[in-house]
Amino acid sequence: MFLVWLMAVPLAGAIATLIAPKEVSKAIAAITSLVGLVGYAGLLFISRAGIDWAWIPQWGIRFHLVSDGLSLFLLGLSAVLFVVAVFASDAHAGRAYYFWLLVLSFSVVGLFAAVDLFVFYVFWEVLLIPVFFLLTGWSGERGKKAAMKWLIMNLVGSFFMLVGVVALAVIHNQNGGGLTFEISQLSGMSMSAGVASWLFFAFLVAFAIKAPLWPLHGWMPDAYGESPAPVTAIISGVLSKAGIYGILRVMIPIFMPQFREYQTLLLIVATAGLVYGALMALRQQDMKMVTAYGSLSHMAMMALGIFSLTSVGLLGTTFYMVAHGLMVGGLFLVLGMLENRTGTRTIQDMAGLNRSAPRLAAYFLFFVLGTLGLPGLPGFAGEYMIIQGLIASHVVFAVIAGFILIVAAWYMLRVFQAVMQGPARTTAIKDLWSRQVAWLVPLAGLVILIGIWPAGITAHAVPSLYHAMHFALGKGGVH
Amino acid sequence: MITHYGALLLYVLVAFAVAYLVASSSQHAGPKAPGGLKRVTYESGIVPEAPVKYFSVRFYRVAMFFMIFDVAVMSLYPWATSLKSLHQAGMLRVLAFLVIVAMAFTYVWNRGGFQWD
Amino acid sequence: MTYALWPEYSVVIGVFVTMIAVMVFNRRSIQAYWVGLATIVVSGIITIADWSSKSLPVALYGHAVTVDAFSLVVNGLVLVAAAGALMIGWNDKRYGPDFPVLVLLALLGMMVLGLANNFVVLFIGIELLSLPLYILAASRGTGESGEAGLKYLLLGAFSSGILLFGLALLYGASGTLVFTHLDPAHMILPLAGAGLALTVVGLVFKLGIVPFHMWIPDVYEGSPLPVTTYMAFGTKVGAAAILMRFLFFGFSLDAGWWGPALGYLAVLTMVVGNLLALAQKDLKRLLAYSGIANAGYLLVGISAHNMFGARALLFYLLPYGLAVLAAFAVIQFVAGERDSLSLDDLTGLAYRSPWLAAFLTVAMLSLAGIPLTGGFVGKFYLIQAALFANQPGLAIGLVVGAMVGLAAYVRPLQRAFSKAAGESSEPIRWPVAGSIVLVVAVVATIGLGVYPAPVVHIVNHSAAFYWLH
Repeated sequence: MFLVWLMAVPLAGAIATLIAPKEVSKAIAAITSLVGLVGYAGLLFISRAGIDWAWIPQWGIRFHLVSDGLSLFLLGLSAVLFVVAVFASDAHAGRAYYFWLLVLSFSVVGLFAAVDLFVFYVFWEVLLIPVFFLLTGWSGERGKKAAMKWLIMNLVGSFFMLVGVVALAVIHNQNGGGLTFEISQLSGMSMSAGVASWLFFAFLVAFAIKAPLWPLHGWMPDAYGESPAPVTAIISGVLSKAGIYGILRVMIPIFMPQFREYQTLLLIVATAGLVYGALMALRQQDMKMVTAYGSLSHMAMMALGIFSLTSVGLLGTTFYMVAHGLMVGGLFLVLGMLENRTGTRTIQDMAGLNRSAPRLAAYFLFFVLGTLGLPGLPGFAGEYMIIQGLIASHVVFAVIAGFILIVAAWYMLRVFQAVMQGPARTTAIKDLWSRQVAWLVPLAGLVILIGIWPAGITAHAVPSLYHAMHFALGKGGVH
Repeated sequence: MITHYGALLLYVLVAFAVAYLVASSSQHAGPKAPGGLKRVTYESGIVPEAPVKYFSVRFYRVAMFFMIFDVAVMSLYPWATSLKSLHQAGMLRVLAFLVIVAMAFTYVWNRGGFQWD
Repeated sequence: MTYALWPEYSVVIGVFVTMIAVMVFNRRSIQAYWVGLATIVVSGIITIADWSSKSLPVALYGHAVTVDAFSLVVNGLVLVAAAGALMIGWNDKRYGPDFPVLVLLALLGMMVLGLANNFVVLFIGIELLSLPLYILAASRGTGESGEAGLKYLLLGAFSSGILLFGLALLYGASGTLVFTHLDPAHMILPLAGAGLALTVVGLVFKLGIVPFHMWIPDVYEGSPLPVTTYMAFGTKVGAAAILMRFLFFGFSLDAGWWGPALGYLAVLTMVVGNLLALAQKDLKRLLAYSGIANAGYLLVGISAHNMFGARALLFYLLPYGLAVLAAFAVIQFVAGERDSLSLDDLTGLAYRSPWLAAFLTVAMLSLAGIPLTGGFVGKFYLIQAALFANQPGLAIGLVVGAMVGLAAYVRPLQRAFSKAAGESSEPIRWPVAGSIVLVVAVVATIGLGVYPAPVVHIVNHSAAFYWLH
């Protein structure tokens, strides 16, 4: 029941923004997201909160939401990032902006908590719509094109996934198990290898597009480049995790044999994405695009953790999703502030800004270091676990991943060095306002907290990871 | 055998004769007023060689209404032939049918369907 | 005493009263509309009362008509369509005083199609549906409307001819007029095959299936808006209902004759309809092509040929119709005095009238099949039906069509939500009756998406064709 309230709060807030006068939209959104955050804090004390209502009983669809170790911290990630994104947003963005932001928050909660495949799919698609309108209405010149690309690419993937969802239920029914969309019941189902492979790729493509994973990242450059900073932070911090989360939540329990069959292929593709993202990040002159391609590379890293098919790799991905979300969200917001102050995103146009804005430079450096995986910050722990998993399964890919970590340091520090250090060529900019510091401090604090205490997440995640993957583990596929 | 068809043959001959007589009698006995609209191909109110805008829709409208109500009234013949076996219920049903036709007729009249101008 | 046919009888009486109202009161008066609406309401109440009646299903007039739960659901759907069309065009002086009378007459045809179980009744239903719509299509007189009416009349007559020929051949091959008495095992085969093919062609002509769809865009574009709404919703319901009853009751044992053919037509229709929708600049034309594509979705339910297919088709008609009502109501409001609306005219709608933009969004997303709208649940049900019938090709064709269509539905929304070039247009008027239709349709669309279980229950009950699996 608690989860329903957690979903109802942003929805109520969204409706409130429509009714209330334009001036208080941001206040409503801020209050709503803070209430959501407090509610989430309450959720931490309830182990395995969940509801299980009959939704469409004729088709065996149940409104089944659960917050277990897999979803709990992603719910937390979205709660935190939505608060931060609302605070970082333009107060004059208008009521529709906050309406869509809150609708997005609502659907993200539903997505991360769903364990019924139908419910999962519903929220999976619903969250495309608010992003589409946010990109259409509040982004740069090419925002409309970006929005179209976002919507169409994602829906192309998810429509095939829809056929997959129904096919799984129908096969389960034909096997004599009755019509159900419950992931735990669909797992370990017997189906012919050919059908299973088709379904496997239908799901994988949908998830890979959302993440995005190379080579299905076509929507990413436009969407990241054109959207306002808070929206970019949400997309890269929260929504991209939905793709990886989907692989963990849906595909691992159902398609373990296919994962094993195609493991080498998947590892090769993910590694190619890792290298591609890093090399593209090195080439960019736009600091936001550097981060975007860096993020693409990191998403590939998470995929590698899953495709290693080891429990430590999966755990690493689970942890790294939360860590990366917080850090890349923060980084995009800092970049947004920088862009607001300088009016440009091109690296060459800026230099030596740390003189006039030392606090901004400090936060920038903090998130850059976190993203490149400095020990003590959470990126390190996640990457460590993923590489550990890769060593256990295929050591070649571990070596490549380790090499790419060096490149990551290179491209991230290149941006920082060029923008913040060196002689002050550009005009001085204003430093952070105290209100901006007010929400950056808790975010940074949270990053440090999970950086020095990863067990806070992993200890929770391990049991439910094992629970969600009992089938895979039971078959001895995971070392 | 042949005598059976003899009656039919006679019938056919008489039919043709009557048809010829009727058709030719109008030619012989009728008044003649050559020229004017009499000389056009179809005596339907249409001037065949004029531009299209001179088509007279009114003629078709009236013709169509005639057809519709004629066909409707024609439905009464089968009813009339089996009136005895249909009894009261048949009477009521045909009355309902006539009410429908009358209603439609009134509506067309009221909406100006029969006005020539 | 059964009240089985009283929904239809009440419409007949309603037609008379409406005619009298037109005659007695001033010809340009509102009374006829009120009588028409009252008729629809009364007929709806009787339909609901019949729903719980124990005496159904019942075959009347020597199996000429069958009143069952299926026909009652069709009644309900076409009543919604008629009410929607009547209220969108409420007291609109442009369409002449005959508008409510003709709407009711076409309604009667649609209702007859729901319960026909006989070739003659089928044909009467088709004609009763078509003739008033020919007049309605042309009811704005000269120009595009007249052109639409003429095109509709000529092509409609053509398809009626094909249909009639097919029915005659079938009667010759089988010796019976009643669907349920058709026994393909005892038919003269080549004759029956030709008859079936011609009949199906005649019916899918009305439904607007590719390659028999050519007339739809022109007719939809030229007709007055409420009439287009009516055609897009009501005609599709009637044609889909009769096609399904004809094939499922008459030729269920020989699905091999028509199943694959209709399956290919369905995929072709879904893809082509959506592709052509993508290229449209006029909103009415866009919705016309969307209507073609949606007819393809309906055909999926028929060619799946199982109980799920029948139910899914019946379910899908409701969210489709509601989305059509909402979309056309929005177009009617925005177009105002004009009769058509280009995509460019939508620019800045969100700033002129945020609510209209929001309602249009719901309608378009429902047509595109986004979750939490009825359209998604309908497509979901259809995919289920196709997969249960072991026809993944149909399901994939459906999603490919939906993908293509998506861009078509989203483009108007992007226009609506982007800023206008600057000129401030006059404020948009909200006619009361049309607003009621719009709000009800939008709320019902979302309601169907959020909690479809009651409607699923109804369609599952009504399409319980036990001889299918």
